[in-house]
Amino acid sequence: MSVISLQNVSKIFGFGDATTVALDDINLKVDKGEFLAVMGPSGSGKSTLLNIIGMLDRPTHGIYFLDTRNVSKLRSNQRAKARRDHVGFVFQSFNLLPRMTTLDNVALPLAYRGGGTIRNLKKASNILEKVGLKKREYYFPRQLSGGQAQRVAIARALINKPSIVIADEPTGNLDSAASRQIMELLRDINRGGNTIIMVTHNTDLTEYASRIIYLRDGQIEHDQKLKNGEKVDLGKIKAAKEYDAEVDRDIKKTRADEKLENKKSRVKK
Amino acid sequence: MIKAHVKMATTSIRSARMRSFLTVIGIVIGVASVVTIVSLGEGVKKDVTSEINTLGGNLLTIRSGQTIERDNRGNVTGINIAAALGASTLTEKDATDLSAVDNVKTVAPIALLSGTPTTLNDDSYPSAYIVGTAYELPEILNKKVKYGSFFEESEMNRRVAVIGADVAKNLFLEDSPVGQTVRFRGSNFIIRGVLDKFKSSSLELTPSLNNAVFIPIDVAKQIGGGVLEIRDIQVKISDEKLLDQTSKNVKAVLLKNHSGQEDFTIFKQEEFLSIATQVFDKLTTLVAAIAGISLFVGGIGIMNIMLVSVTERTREIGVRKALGATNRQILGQFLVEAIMLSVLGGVIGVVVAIAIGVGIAFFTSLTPVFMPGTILVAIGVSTVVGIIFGITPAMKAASKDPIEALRHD
Repeated sequence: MSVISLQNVSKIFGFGDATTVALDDINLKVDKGEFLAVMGPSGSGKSTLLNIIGMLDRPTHGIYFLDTRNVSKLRSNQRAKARRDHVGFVFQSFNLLPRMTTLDNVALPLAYRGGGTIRNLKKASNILEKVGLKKREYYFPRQLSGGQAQRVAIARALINKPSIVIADEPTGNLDSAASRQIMELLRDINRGGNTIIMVTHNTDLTEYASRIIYLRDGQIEHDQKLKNGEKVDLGKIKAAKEYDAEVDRDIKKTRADEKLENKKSRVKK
Repeated sequence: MIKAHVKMATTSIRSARMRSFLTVIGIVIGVASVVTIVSLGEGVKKDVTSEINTLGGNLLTIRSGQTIERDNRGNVTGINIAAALGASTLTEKDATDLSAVDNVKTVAPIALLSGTPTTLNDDSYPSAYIVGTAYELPEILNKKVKYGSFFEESEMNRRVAVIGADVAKNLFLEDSPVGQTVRFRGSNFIIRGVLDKFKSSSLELTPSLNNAVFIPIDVAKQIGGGVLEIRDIQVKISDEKLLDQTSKNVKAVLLKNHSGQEDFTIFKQEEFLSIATQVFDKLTTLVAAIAGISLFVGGIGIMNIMLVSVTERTREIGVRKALGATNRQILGQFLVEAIMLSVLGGVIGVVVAIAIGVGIAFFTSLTPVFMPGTILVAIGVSTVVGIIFGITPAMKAASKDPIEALRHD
C-alpha cells in the first residue's frame, strides 16, 4: 500500500516570462516502510518535491494522496493540521527553538494538538529515552552537541507517530561520526516501520536507503531500489553523468574565458 | 493552548527583560498616573464622607461669596473658588438673626483673627491661626474635646483658649498642654482644652480646624477692635427633615440683611462631597486625557517591539508552522505576548501608583484609597491596549509562509 501517491504533479512558480517549472509532471508512489533517498543537483526540484510531500506547499497541478486522503487542495490551516498529525520534519540545521528545553521542544507538536500538558511531556520524555537523551531533558538546545540536537529533532519528528518522516540533509551540519549515529538512528526508525524520505548530496548515505530517486529539471530521471547496504553509483545514472559533463564543460568554459580575459588585459598593458 | 501561549510569552519576555521593561514604560506611566489620581479622589471622598457623617446631616454652613453654581433643582453644577476670596460679607448680625429662624437649634460663627500664637518661650507654629467662636461649637460640629474642656457660656469674656490637635502637637510638642499659656496680640490665654482631631477634608476651601486656636468670640471682638471677620457660620437645626425648608428661611433672612444681594453660599453637608467629587472628576478627566496619550504611545511601543520580534523570530514561526501550528495558533501566541507585555505594564503601573500613594499618605494629609474597581479597570485597559496594538504584529506573524520563514536566517 502506498503511503504517498503523486499523480502528474507539477509546481510552477511565477507568471508570464518569469515562470519557472520546479516540478514537471511527477508520478511517484512511496510504500509504507520505504527509506527513500532523493538526490539531484541544486535547482532540480528536490526541495519543492519535499515541500509538497510535507504539505508545506500545494502542487499547481496534479493530485497528491497521503495514505488514502487527497491532500492536494487543502487550505493552509488544514495542511497545518495534516502536517501536525502525519508528517515529521528533520532539518539540516536542527531548528530546535532556542528558548525551550529539550523536553518542551519535543512536546511542541503535541502542544499544537492539545491534550494534557503533563501527559504530553511524559510522551516526550519516553521518546527522548528512545533516542538516548533522557538525561538531557532539561538542557537547552545551545547546551547540546550537533548530533544530540539532531537526535532531539528526530524525537520531535516522531512524537506524533507520523505516516512519513521528511529529512532534509539531516547530516549536512554534522561531522562524520555524528552523521553515522544519526543515519543509524534513522535506519532503526525505518526498520520500526516508519517511512522516511531524505534529501542528500552524499552518495555514502544512500547505503542506509532502500530506494533512490534522482531528480533533474523537475523530473525524476532515475528511480532505483537498493539492496541492503548498497550505495548508489551516480556514474551509472545517465542524468547524473550528463549533469557532471555539463558542469565540467561549464568549468572548462569559465577557465577558457578567464584565460582569454587575462590575455586581453596583458595585451592592453 | 492558552496555557502554552502564556508559558511561551513569559519565557520570551523574560529572555529580554531590559527590552520588555523599556517597552512597557509608556503603559506604566499612563496607568500609574490615572490610578494615583483616581485613588486620591477616592481618598478625599472618603475623608469628606466620614467628616459629614461626624457632623451629621442637620448642619448648614454659610460661607461668604457665591462660590457654587446650582441648577433649578438645587444641585451643584459648578464651583467658583475665587468668590470665596476677599473680605467676608458675613456679619455678626447675620449670626444673631439666624438663631431666631424656625427650626434652628444653635448658631456658631467662626471669626478669623490675625496674629501668630506663640508659647511663653516665643516658640511659634506658622500654620496656626486664631478663631473666635461660640461655646456651642463642639456640639454643633459633633466634636469631642479630647483633653480638658471647651470654654463655657459664662467664660465668653475670659482669656481662655481651646486648641486644635495639630497646634498642641506642633506648638507645645505634647498632646495635652492644658493649663499652659498661649500668647498672641499682646495677651496671654490659658489653654482649657484640646479638640479631638478633625478628619482633614483635604478639599475644604479653608485651612484645617486642627490648626486653629479657638477663643471666645466676644474676646476676639475686643482684641480685634470691635470688628469681626466671620469666615463662616455653622447652623445646627433641630429637625433634619425640614432641612430644605430651613435652608430657604435662612437664605431669606440673609438676603434681607444683605439688601437682596446673594453674596453668600449655604452649604448642606453632602454638597461638600459633591464639590470634592466635582473637582476630582475634572482632575481625573484631565489626567486621563494625558494618560491616554501615554497609553497610546506605550501601545505603539509595544506594537513596534512586537513587529521587531516577529521579524527576529521568522524562522521560529516557520518551524512552528512546519510542526503543525495553525495560523490561529501563531496569532494567539504573539497576541498573548503583546497582551502580557501590556498587562505587565499595567500591573507595574498599579504598583507604582500604590507606592506613590504610600508616599503621599506619608508626606501629606491626603490618604489615597485604592479601590479594587480602579485596579481592575486599569488592568482591563492595559489588556485592551495589548489587543489593539498586538493584533497587527500577530497577524503578520500568522500570515508568514512557512517555506519562506524556514529559509530566513
